Amino acid sequence: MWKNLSLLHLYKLIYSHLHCYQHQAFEDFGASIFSEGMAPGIESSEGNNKMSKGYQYPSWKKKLTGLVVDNEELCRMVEKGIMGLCGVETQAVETGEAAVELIASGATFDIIVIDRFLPSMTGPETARKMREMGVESKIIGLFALYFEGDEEEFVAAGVDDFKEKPLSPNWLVPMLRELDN
Amino acid sequence: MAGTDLRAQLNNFIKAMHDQGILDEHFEHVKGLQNEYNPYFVLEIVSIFCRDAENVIAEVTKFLDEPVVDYVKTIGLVHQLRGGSSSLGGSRMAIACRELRQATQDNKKEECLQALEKVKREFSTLHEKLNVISQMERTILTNEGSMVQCIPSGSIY
Repeated sequence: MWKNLSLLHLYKLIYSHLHCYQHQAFEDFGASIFSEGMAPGIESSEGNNKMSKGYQYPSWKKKLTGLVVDNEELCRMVEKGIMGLCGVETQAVETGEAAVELIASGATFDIIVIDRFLPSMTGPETARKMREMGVESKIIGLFALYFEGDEEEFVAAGVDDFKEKPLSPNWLVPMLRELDN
Repeated sequence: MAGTDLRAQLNNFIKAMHDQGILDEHFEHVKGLQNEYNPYFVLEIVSIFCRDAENVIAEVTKFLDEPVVDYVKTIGLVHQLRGGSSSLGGSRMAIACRELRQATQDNKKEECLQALEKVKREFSTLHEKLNVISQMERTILTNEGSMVQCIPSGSIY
Protein backbone atom coordinates (compact mmCIF):
# COMPACT_ATOMS: atom_id res chain seq x y z
CA MET A 1 0.00 0.00 0.00
CA TRP A 2 2.99 2.30 0.43
CA LYS A 3 3.49 2.19 -3.33
CA ASN A 4 -0.03 3.51 -3.83
CA LEU A 5 0.70 6.66 -1.93
CA SER A 6 2.65 9.57 -3.19
CA LEU A 7 4.70 11.58 -0.73
CA LEU A 8 2.17 14.33 -1.28
CA HIS A 9 -0.72 12.23 -0.06
CA LEU A 10 1.31 10.90 2.83
CA TYR A 11 1.82 14.41 4.13
CA LYS A 12 -1.86 15.26 3.50
CA LEU A 13 -2.94 12.27 5.60
CA ILE A 14 -0.62 13.12 8.45
CA TYR A 15 -1.64 16.77 8.55
CA SER A 16 -5.34 16.10 8.12
CA HIS A 17 -5.21 13.85 11.16
CA LEU A 18 -3.36 16.52 13.10
CA HIS A 19 -5.82 19.20 11.76
CA CYS A 20 -2.77 21.31 11.34
CA TYR A 21 -1.95 23.09 8.10
CA GLN A 22 0.90 25.45 8.84
CA HIS A 23 2.56 27.33 6.05
CA GLN A 24 5.89 27.21 7.84
CA ALA A 25 5.59 23.43 8.15
CA PHE A 26 5.03 23.26 4.41
CA GLU A 27 8.24 25.20 3.97
CA ASP A 28 10.12 22.90 6.35
CA PHE A 29 9.07 19.81 4.45
CA GLY A 30 9.68 21.29 1.08
CA ALA A 31 6.81 23.46 -0.02
CA SER A 32 7.64 22.71 -3.63
CA ILE A 33 6.10 19.27 -3.41
CA PHE A 34 2.77 20.75 -2.43
CA SER A 35 0.59 21.85 -5.25
CA GLU A 36 -1.26 25.10 -5.47
CA GLY A 37 -4.84 25.16 -4.40
CA MET A 38 -4.07 23.02 -1.35
CA ALA A 39 -5.53 25.57 0.99
CA PRO A 40 -6.24 24.30 4.46
CA GLY A 41 -9.70 23.03 5.25
CA ILE A 42 -12.11 25.92 5.74
CA GLU A 43 -15.75 26.24 6.32
CA SER A 44 -16.84 29.59 5.13
CA SER A 45 -19.13 29.99 8.11
CA GLU A 46 -16.24 29.67 10.55
CA GLY A 47 -13.70 32.32 11.43
CA ASN A 48 -10.07 31.49 12.07
CA ASN A 49 -6.77 32.54 10.69
CA LYS A 50 -6.24 30.73 7.43
CA MET A 51 -3.79 30.54 4.64
CA SER A 52 -3.86 30.59 0.91
CA LYS A 53 -1.04 30.11 -1.55
CA GLY A 54 1.87 31.79 0.19
CA TYR A 55 -0.40 34.29 1.90
CA GLN A 56 -0.61 33.89 5.64
CA TYR A 57 -3.29 35.92 7.31
CA PRO A 58 -2.76 37.38 10.77
CA SER A 59 -4.45 35.89 13.80
CA TRP A 60 -7.32 37.96 14.99
CA LYS A 61 -7.68 38.78 18.67
CA LYS A 62 -11.43 38.58 18.48
CA LYS A 63 -13.94 36.65 16.43
CA LEU A 64 -14.79 38.75 13.38
CA THR A 65 -18.15 38.36 11.72
CA GLY A 66 -19.25 39.48 8.28
CA LEU A 67 -22.23 39.70 5.97
CA VAL A 68 -22.16 39.64 2.18
CA VAL A 69 -25.13 41.08 0.33
CA ASP A 70 -24.87 40.21 -3.37
CA ASN A 71 -27.52 39.02 -5.78
CA GLU A 72 -25.06 37.31 -8.15
CA GLU A 73 -24.42 33.71 -7.13
CA LEU A 74 -20.81 33.49 -8.29
CA CYS A 75 -19.85 36.82 -6.72
CA ARG A 76 -21.62 35.90 -3.50
CA MET A 77 -19.83 32.52 -3.27
CA VAL A 78 -16.42 34.03 -3.94
CA GLU A 79 -16.90 37.02 -1.63
CA LYS A 80 -18.13 34.79 1.18
CA GLY A 81 -15.22 32.45 0.60
CA ILE A 82 -12.63 35.23 0.54
CA MET A 83 -14.01 36.73 3.74
CA GLY A 84 -13.89 33.27 5.36
CA LEU A 85 -10.34 32.75 4.15
CA CYS A 86 -9.44 36.05 5.81
CA GLY A 87 -10.76 34.76 9.10
CA VAL A 88 -14.22 36.29 9.10
CA GLU A 89 -17.21 34.16 10.06
CA THR A 90 -19.42 35.16 7.15
CA GLN A 91 -23.02 34.84 6.13
CA ALA A 92 -24.30 35.71 2.69
CA VAL A 93 -27.70 36.85 1.45
CA GLU A 94 -29.04 37.75 -1.97
CA THR A 95 -31.08 40.87 -1.28
CA GLY A 96 -31.09 44.05 0.74
CA GLU A 97 -34.38 42.98 2.28
CA ALA A 98 -32.88 39.72 3.52
CA ALA A 99 -29.93 41.60 4.99
CA VAL A 100 -32.19 44.04 6.82
CA GLU A 101 -34.33 41.19 8.10
CA LEU A 102 -31.24 39.45 9.45
CA ILE A 103 -30.19 42.54 11.32
CA ALA A 104 -33.71 43.16 12.59
CA SER A 105 -33.64 39.63 14.02
CA GLY A 106 -30.65 40.62 16.16
CA ALA A 107 -27.69 39.49 14.08
CA THR A 108 -24.63 41.71 14.35
CA PHE A 109 -21.63 41.90 12.09
CA ASP A 110 -18.24 43.57 12.22
CA ILE A 111 -18.16 44.09 8.47
CA ILE A 112 -20.93 44.21 5.87
CA VAL A 113 -20.23 44.14 2.14
CA ILE A 114 -23.07 45.31 -0.08
CA ASP A 115 -23.27 45.15 -3.86
CA ARG A 116 -24.43 48.32 -5.60
CA PHE A 117 -27.00 46.64 -7.81
CA LEU A 118 -29.47 44.60 -5.82
CA PRO A 119 -32.84 43.52 -7.27
CA SER A 120 -35.36 45.74 -5.48
CA MET A 121 -33.80 47.50 -2.47
CA THR A 122 -30.57 48.88 -3.94
CA GLY A 123 -27.19 48.71 -2.26
CA PRO A 124 -27.26 52.34 -1.09
CA GLU A 125 -30.86 51.94 0.12
CA THR A 126 -29.81 48.87 2.09
CA ALA A 127 -26.87 50.69 3.64
CA ARG A 128 -29.07 53.67 4.53
CA LYS A 129 -31.67 51.43 6.17
CA MET A 130 -28.97 49.68 8.19
CA ARG A 131 -27.63 52.99 9.50
CA GLU A 132 -31.17 54.09 10.38
CA MET A 133 -31.49 50.86 12.36
CA GLY A 134 -28.40 51.84 14.33
CA VAL A 135 -25.95 49.49 12.66
CA GLU A 136 -22.43 50.65 13.43
CA SER A 137 -20.63 47.93 11.47
CA LYS A 138 -18.03 48.74 8.85
CA ILE A 139 -20.09 48.88 5.67
CA ILE A 140 -18.40 48.50 2.31
CA GLY A 141 -20.10 49.35 -0.96
CA LEU A 142 -19.09 47.01 -3.77
CA PHE A 143 -19.25 47.85 -7.47
CA ALA A 144 -19.11 45.41 -10.36
CA LEU A 145 -17.95 48.37 -12.44
CA TYR A 146 -16.85 51.63 -10.93
CA PHE A 147 -16.63 55.04 -12.57
CA GLU A 148 -15.69 58.16 -10.69
CA GLY A 149 -18.70 59.65 -9.00
CA ASP A 150 -20.55 56.34 -8.70
CA GLU A 151 -19.78 56.23 -4.99
CA GLU A 152 -21.76 59.35 -4.12
CA GLU A 153 -25.01 57.54 -3.46
CA PHE A 154 -23.27 54.92 -1.34
CA VAL A 155 -21.32 57.50 0.63
CA ALA A 156 -24.46 59.56 1.24
CA ALA A 157 -26.08 56.38 2.55
CA GLY A 158 -23.34 56.01 5.15
CA VAL A 159 -20.87 53.41 3.86
CA ASP A 160 -17.36 53.56 5.26
CA ASP A 161 -15.59 52.64 2.06
CA PHE A 162 -16.23 51.30 -1.40
CA LYS A 163 -14.46 49.04 -3.83
CA GLU A 164 -14.70 47.72 -7.32
CA LYS A 165 -14.91 43.92 -7.51
CA PRO A 166 -13.19 41.61 -6.94
CA LEU A 167 -13.03 41.60 -3.17
CA SER A 168 -9.45 40.58 -2.53
CA PRO A 169 -7.59 39.48 0.61
CA ASN A 170 -4.94 42.14 -0.04
CA TRP A 171 -7.57 44.85 0.28
CA LEU A 172 -9.55 43.23 3.06
CA VAL A 173 -6.86 42.23 5.55
CA PRO A 174 -5.66 45.77 6.50
CA MET A 175 -9.29 46.73 7.12
CA LEU A 176 -9.84 43.65 9.27
CA ARG A 177 -6.69 44.47 11.21
CA GLU A 178 -8.20 47.85 12.06
CA LEU A 179 -11.42 46.20 13.16
CA ASP A 180 -9.52 43.72 15.27
CA ASN A 181 -7.68 46.52 17.05
CA MET B 1 3.48 10.15 -9.63
CA ALA B 2 0.77 10.84 -12.18
CA GLY B 3 -1.28 12.97 -9.79
CA THR B 4 1.63 15.27 -9.00
CA ASP B 5 2.54 15.53 -12.68
CA LEU B 6 -0.97 16.51 -13.65
CA ARG B 7 -1.12 19.09 -10.87
CA ALA B 8 2.14 20.53 -12.14
CA GLN B 9 0.74 20.59 -15.67
CA LEU B 10 -2.35 22.40 -14.42
CA ASN B 11 -0.23 24.94 -12.57
CA ASN B 12 1.86 25.54 -15.68
CA PHE B 13 -1.27 25.96 -17.77
CA ILE B 14 -2.69 28.49 -15.32
CA LYS B 15 0.64 30.33 -15.29
CA ALA B 16 0.49 30.56 -19.08
CA MET B 17 -3.01 32.04 -18.75
CA HIS B 18 -1.58 34.61 -16.34
CA ASP B 19 1.19 35.45 -18.78
CA GLN B 20 -1.36 36.03 -21.53
CA GLY B 21 -3.51 38.17 -19.25
CA ILE B 22 -6.48 35.82 -19.57
CA LEU B 23 -6.45 35.12 -15.83
CA ASP B 24 -5.15 37.36 -13.07
CA GLU B 25 -4.04 36.87 -9.46
CA HIS B 26 -7.62 36.75 -8.26
CA PHE B 27 -8.00 33.32 -9.86
CA GLU B 28 -5.37 32.14 -7.39
CA HIS B 29 -7.50 33.41 -4.51
CA VAL B 30 -10.50 31.56 -5.97
CA LYS B 31 -8.40 28.40 -6.26
CA GLY B 32 -7.34 28.91 -2.68
CA LEU B 33 -10.96 28.47 -1.63
CA GLN B 34 -10.88 24.87 -2.84
CA ASN B 35 -9.89 22.31 -0.24
CA GLU B 36 -10.74 18.83 0.82
CA TYR B 37 -13.97 20.00 2.48
CA ASN B 38 -14.93 21.84 -0.70
CA PRO B 39 -13.05 19.91 -3.41
CA TYR B 40 -15.23 20.94 -6.31
CA PHE B 41 -15.23 24.68 -5.65
CA VAL B 42 -13.29 25.64 -8.76
CA LEU B 43 -15.39 23.38 -10.95
CA GLU B 44 -18.55 24.85 -9.47
CA ILE B 45 -17.43 28.43 -9.93
CA VAL B 46 -16.33 27.81 -13.52
CA SER B 47 -19.64 26.12 -14.31
CA ILE B 48 -21.67 28.98 -12.83
CA PHE B 49 -19.57 31.58 -14.61
CA CYS B 50 -19.85 29.97 -18.04
CA ARG B 51 -23.59 29.38 -17.70
CA ASP B 52 -24.35 32.90 -16.47
CA ALA B 53 -22.00 34.66 -18.89
CA GLU B 54 -23.53 32.87 -21.88
CA ASN B 55 -27.02 33.88 -20.79
CA VAL B 56 -26.06 37.49 -20.13
CA ILE B 57 -24.20 37.86 -23.42
CA ALA B 58 -27.26 36.48 -25.22
CA GLU B 59 -29.48 39.02 -23.48
CA VAL B 60 -27.15 41.92 -24.23
CA THR B 61 -27.05 40.83 -27.88
CA LYS B 62 -30.85 40.81 -27.93
CA PHE B 63 -31.09 44.31 -26.42
CA LEU B 64 -28.51 45.75 -28.79
CA ASP B 65 -30.33 44.17 -31.74
CA GLU B 66 -33.48 46.15 -30.95
CA PRO B 67 -34.21 49.22 -33.11
CA VAL B 68 -34.41 51.27 -29.90
CA VAL B 69 -31.85 50.04 -27.39
CA ASP B 70 -32.78 49.88 -23.74
CA TYR B 71 -29.44 51.11 -22.42
CA VAL B 72 -30.54 50.97 -18.79
CA LYS B 73 -31.16 47.24 -18.93
CA THR B 74 -28.08 46.71 -21.08
CA ILE B 75 -25.91 48.52 -18.54
CA GLY B 76 -27.28 46.37 -15.72
CA LEU B 77 -26.36 43.23 -17.65
CA VAL B 78 -22.88 44.50 -18.46
CA HIS B 79 -22.31 45.17 -14.76
CA GLN B 80 -23.37 41.61 -14.02
CA LEU B 81 -20.99 40.27 -16.65
CA ARG B 82 -18.07 42.32 -15.42
CA GLY B 83 -18.78 41.38 -11.81
CA GLY B 84 -18.65 37.68 -12.60
CA SER B 85 -15.56 37.97 -14.80
CA SER B 86 -13.57 39.91 -12.24
CA SER B 87 -14.69 37.74 -9.33
CA LEU B 88 -13.44 34.69 -11.21
CA GLY B 89 -10.18 36.37 -12.21
CA GLY B 90 -10.96 36.62 -15.92
CA SER B 91 -8.91 39.74 -16.46
CA ARG B 92 -9.16 40.31 -20.21
CA MET B 93 -12.87 39.65 -20.25
CA ALA B 94 -13.39 42.06 -17.35
CA ILE B 95 -11.54 44.73 -19.33
CA ALA B 96 -13.69 44.06 -22.41
CA CYS B 97 -16.80 44.45 -20.24
CA ARG B 98 -15.56 47.83 -19.03
CA GLU B 99 -15.11 48.93 -22.64
CA LEU B 100 -18.65 47.81 -23.44
CA ARG B 101 -19.92 49.72 -20.42
CA GLN B 102 -18.08 52.81 -21.62
CA ALA B 103 -19.69 52.44 -25.05
CA THR B 104 -23.16 52.29 -23.50
CA GLN B 105 -22.40 55.53 -21.65
CA ASP B 106 -22.18 57.31 -24.99
CA ASN B 107 -25.39 55.62 -26.24
CA LYS B 108 -23.66 54.79 -29.51
CA LYS B 109 -25.05 51.55 -30.84
CA GLU B 110 -22.28 50.85 -33.34
CA GLU B 111 -19.59 51.25 -30.69
CA CYS B 112 -21.59 49.02 -28.37
CA LEU B 113 -21.84 46.33 -31.02
CA GLN B 114 -18.09 46.43 -31.62
CA ALA B 115 -17.39 46.30 -27.90
CA LEU B 116 -19.83 43.39 -27.55
CA GLU B 117 -17.96 41.47 -30.24
CA LYS B 118 -14.79 41.90 -28.23
CA VAL B 119 -16.56 40.64 -25.11
CA LYS B 120 -17.72 37.60 -27.05
CA ARG B 121 -14.19 36.89 -28.30
CA GLU B 122 -12.72 37.20 -24.82
CA PHE B 123 -15.46 35.01 -23.37
CA SER B 124 -14.84 32.39 -26.04
CA THR B 125 -11.14 32.32 -25.20
CA LEU B 126 -11.74 32.27 -21.46
CA HIS B 127 -14.40 29.59 -21.76
CA GLU B 128 -12.06 27.37 -23.74
CA LYS B 129 -9.25 27.75 -21.20
CA LEU B 130 -11.58 27.20 -18.27
CA ASN B 131 -12.81 24.00 -19.89
CA VAL B 132 -9.23 22.75 -20.03
CA ILE B 133 -8.70 23.70 -16.38
CA SER B 134 -11.94 21.98 -15.41
CA GLN B 135 -11.02 18.82 -17.26
CA MET B 136 -7.64 18.67 -15.58
CA GLU B 137 -9.20 19.36 -12.17
CA ARG B 138 -11.71 16.56 -12.70
CA THR B 139 -8.96 14.12 -13.63
CA ILE B 140 -6.89 15.14 -10.61
CA LEU B 141 -9.86 14.77 -8.28
CA THR B 142 -10.68 11.38 -9.77
CA ASN B 143 -7.09 10.21 -9.39
CA GLU B 144 -6.89 11.49 -5.82
CA GLY B 145 -10.20 9.86 -5.01
CA SER B 146 -9.06 6.48 -6.32
CA MET B 147 -5.75 6.80 -4.47
CA VAL B 148 -7.48 7.55 -1.17
CA GLN B 149 -9.54 4.39 -1.65
CA CYS B 150 -6.32 2.33 -1.50
CA ILE B 151 -5.81 3.34 2.13
CA PRO B 152 -7.33 1.08 4.78
CA SER B 153 -9.70 3.05 6.98
CA GLY B 154 -8.28 4.21 10.30
CA SER B 155 -4.72 3.71 9.20
CA ILE B 156 -1.96 6.22 9.02
CA TYR B 157 0.94 5.23 6.80
